[in-house]
Amino acid sequence: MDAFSHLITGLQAALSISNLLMALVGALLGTLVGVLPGLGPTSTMAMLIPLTAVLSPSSAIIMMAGIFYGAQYGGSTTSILVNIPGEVSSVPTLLDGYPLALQGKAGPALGIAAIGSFVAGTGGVIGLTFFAPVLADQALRFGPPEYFALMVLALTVMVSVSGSSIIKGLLIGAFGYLMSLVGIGPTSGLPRFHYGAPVLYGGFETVTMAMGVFAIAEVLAGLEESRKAVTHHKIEKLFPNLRDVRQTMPAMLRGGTIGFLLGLLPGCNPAVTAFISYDVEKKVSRHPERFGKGALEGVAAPESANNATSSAAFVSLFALGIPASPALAVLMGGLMIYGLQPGPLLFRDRPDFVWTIIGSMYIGNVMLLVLNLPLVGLWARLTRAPYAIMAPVILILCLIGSYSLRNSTFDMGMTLIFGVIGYFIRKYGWPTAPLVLCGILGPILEKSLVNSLAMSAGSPMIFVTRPICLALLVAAVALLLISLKVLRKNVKEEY
Amino acid sequence: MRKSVTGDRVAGGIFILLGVVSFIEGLRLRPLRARGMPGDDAFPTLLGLVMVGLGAYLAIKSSRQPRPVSWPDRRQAVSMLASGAILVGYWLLLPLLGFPISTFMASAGLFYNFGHYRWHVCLLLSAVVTAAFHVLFVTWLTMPFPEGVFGI
Repeated sequence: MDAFSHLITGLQAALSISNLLMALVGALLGTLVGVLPGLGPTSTMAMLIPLTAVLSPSSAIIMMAGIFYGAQYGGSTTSILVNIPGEVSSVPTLLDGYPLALQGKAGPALGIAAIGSFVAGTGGVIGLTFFAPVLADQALRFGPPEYFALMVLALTVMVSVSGSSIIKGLLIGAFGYLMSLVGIGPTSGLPRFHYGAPVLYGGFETVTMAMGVFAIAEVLAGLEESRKAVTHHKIEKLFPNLRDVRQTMPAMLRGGTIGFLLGLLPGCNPAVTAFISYDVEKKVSRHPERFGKGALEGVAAPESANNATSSAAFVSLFALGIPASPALAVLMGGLMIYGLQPGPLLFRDRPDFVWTIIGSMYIGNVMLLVLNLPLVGLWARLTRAPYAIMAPVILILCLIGSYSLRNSTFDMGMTLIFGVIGYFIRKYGWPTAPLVLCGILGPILEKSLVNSLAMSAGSPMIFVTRPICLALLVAAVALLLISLKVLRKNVKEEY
Repeated sequence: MRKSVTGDRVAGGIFILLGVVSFIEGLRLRPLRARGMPGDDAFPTLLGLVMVGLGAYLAIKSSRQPRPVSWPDRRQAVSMLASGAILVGYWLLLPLLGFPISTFMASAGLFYNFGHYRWHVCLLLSAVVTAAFHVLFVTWLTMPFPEGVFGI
């Protein structure tokens, strides 16, 4: 096979000392960036662009690619340990990861997250290796109507994460969506909900909402409960056993498949694929009532999905020259500095370069597993550290992280405000996940709807005359009905 | 019989209010839309209607299902408010005093509030945390933070 022989050549080049070192640096930095809330791979990669002046093209791109997919590995650590989503794509992970930590099972949760990330990340690179050109062509068939339908499908996840009251979930989701409307409108380019304050033109960052509602609110609750540590449960085991891995392997494979296929779509946010895979996993489970209370599958599925999405994002970059996210746009900038234009011609003109990068991604995923898995025990022990020391560090870290988003103290203030809101939401037993979910989906939904209707001169028939769009809408209705059925069954069993 | 004001009823009222705000913003943006096409007004208007409707439903439905809520006692409330005040202080002082000083002060205050450690322990812990964050964010990741009036 042509691809196979290219891959072998690429792996040989990737195994050079300098490239291995760059892969390690990228993986380490990426993990760190993922762990620290608010700090995303985009700004870190942008800061390292000047290194392209001193490094070879393959070394520089290997390092930046390592940061990109390494960030997805790191995001789960703080989500599980202390309920802070390191990345927005780690929000679904904390729904079950943090309850597991509270039960003294942070070790297995972290271990499964690392293994799932490795399985799905490697699977995604295999997909990139052998199917990139074919899959990329199919991805081009997705236009605004298909994106709209995909967002509608993703919105059905709200039912799963709303707990026992859909009305409250819808209202919290609506609030999250309202927050995402603040800022510049997609059609007129004029600000909305600004009330004369220029600082509101930029809107609110979703990470700010997530950190406030989850992390700050959690610490306030811990202070109220006079908590001594994150968990008072004895840590039963530090690592997942073979039974845990076997139990969660189907979830990893499903999450990885969903994450990879959806990740082929340019602009598909890993948070969206993580939420969808979480929802699918809950639906196919024989015991969906375990989700939200500490189900390992609830950690495996979203972590696998977001890592597979980060691998799939390289398909559209290398095969079509379309960067799927701001971080990959920075990476593309790095390529162009070297005079390399991503796209189908890159495979033809510089196969040595492309296959070296792809080869290094296999090595990078192994490195990430080797780096993260041994640290699981150490991280797990942190859940027994004195809360009086952990909590101030968490609070300061959240505020620094929110500042680092846009170098703005406005985001720090908003994190605090969302923290207070999150505290009261929890106090009254309302769900919090829909707020972040709709904050992410809302702008994409609106933009794709507006663009779709612009394509069809205002006719809504465009959504039913395009086969992929119609199929996604039908799937959304089906998933909604299944979610409602599962919810009704859970409520009946509870009462 | 006098009906008590439940949390859900208050929440319903808040969402009705937010819905009205969103709807009014939609009305404000309406003149800017192109004819026959949804503009920036579409989603605020729709969202406003949804929030008003669901908020009203919740407010009405809540009268049958009051939910008991436990509130912090006086000591806990004071501690929580103190933490909030420290964090607000950090937010306000960061641009004025710079990253190291404001972080040091805020973390010292938080360690005292959370753990009631002796002051010298709080200052030591705070110094360690500030140094660690400085190395991580400023030295290693070269994040630009305000230097404040002291230029640190």
